[in-house]
Amino acid sequence: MELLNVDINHAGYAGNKDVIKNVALSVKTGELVGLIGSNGAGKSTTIKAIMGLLSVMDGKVEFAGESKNYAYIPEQPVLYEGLTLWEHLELAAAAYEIERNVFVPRAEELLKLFRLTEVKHHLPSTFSKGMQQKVMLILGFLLEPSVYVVDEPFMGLDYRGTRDFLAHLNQARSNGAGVLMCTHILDTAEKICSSFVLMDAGTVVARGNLMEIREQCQLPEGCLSECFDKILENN
Amino acid sequence: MMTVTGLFFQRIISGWKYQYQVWRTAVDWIVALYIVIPFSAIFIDFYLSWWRAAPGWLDYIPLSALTAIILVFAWSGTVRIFVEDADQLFLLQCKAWISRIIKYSLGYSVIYNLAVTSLLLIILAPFLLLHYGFSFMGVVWLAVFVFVLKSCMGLATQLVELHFKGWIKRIVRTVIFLITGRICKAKRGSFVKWQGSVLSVNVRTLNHFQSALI
Repeated sequence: MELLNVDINHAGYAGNKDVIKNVALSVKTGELVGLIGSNGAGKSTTIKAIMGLLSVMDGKVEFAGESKNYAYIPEQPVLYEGLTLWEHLELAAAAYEIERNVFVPRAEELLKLFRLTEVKHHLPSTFSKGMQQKVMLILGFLLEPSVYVVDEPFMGLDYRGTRDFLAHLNQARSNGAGVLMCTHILDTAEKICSSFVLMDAGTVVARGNLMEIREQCQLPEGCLSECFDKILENN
Repeated sequence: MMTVTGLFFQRIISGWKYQYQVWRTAVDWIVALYIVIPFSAIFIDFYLSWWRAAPGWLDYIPLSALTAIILVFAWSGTVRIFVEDADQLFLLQCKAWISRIIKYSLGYSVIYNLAVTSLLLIILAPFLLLHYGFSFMGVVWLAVFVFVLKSCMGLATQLVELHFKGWIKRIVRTVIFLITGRICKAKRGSFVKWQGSVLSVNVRTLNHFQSALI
């Protein structure tokens, strides 16, 4: 079952209207789609277009699934200066109408998982980058959405944080959620993603699972980064 | 659990706390003791004396000077929308929350503008009543006019910031300033008529403003 369907003709900003062109992708139940590419390939712009955060957007974005809701975990943590970590969670719960008797145990469990229980009444603006990134992950998982849209989640996360994040993400996938993950760390993407959308110069240059990508670039034993290099050379 | 109203008031209190801290950095107790308190006392003494008799220097200030004061005062007005960067993420799928925060912000700005306009007119009242021959109702109507004009200017300024950039923004701002100047030059007897048209523009601007932000 498709949870997210994206078909963008072109999108961008007021000064540059065609940052990305002809980008189409879909995310199915239990799937982890890696949106990969070099710096400036248009990955984050694609994510912003999907989230409706761009001033110029010609295309279609459809969220399906039972709840039709999604969680967006941005590359740069965005937090309120004056709210504590717990208040952030309370705000998200109130805005997304999560019952208190559901919210409290779920939030406590996530805080424990990411080892932030002791600082739950502190201001996240005083946290390190990695801790702030964990707050964003907790907020995403708190909503238990049908689609996770994650932009460069490994930036700033330590080994244990990355491991816990991936474990929880896999659990969400086994419960039927789909994930669109934007990253330029190809080694990790190759290990965890079920399929890939390769971007370069603002457009999609290849798509499919690793086998299909290998076929496209005629590297039957190649790793993702080698396939990616070959595809860029051919383009 | 947190509510929209609770979140909005939290932001107002946080904004006031910030303003207080900025004020405290400029005015420590020495500045307060030797400058702010003595000057406030002198001003209050002068103000009370203006109610007993209009000061002589007013003879050199024509009524048209009032236009400049009103123009600058109305132009300095702004509408503060208590929407923060993180709302784009936290309330991405909750347009109703954003919409209510904007509505509360507009209400707050209206009350704030009403308070500062009243304060300005209370300060000018002895000059208007004792020297320029305004009636009490004339001062009240002038206060209403200035309040509506100031609110309208605040909304217009925000709309210009949202829709225009660079030199076009400067041209639009200049045109609005000139139109405001024309409104302010209206004679005292025409205030009620102007007020009606400004109010009507204000309502239309308000509707447009909300739809532009949501």
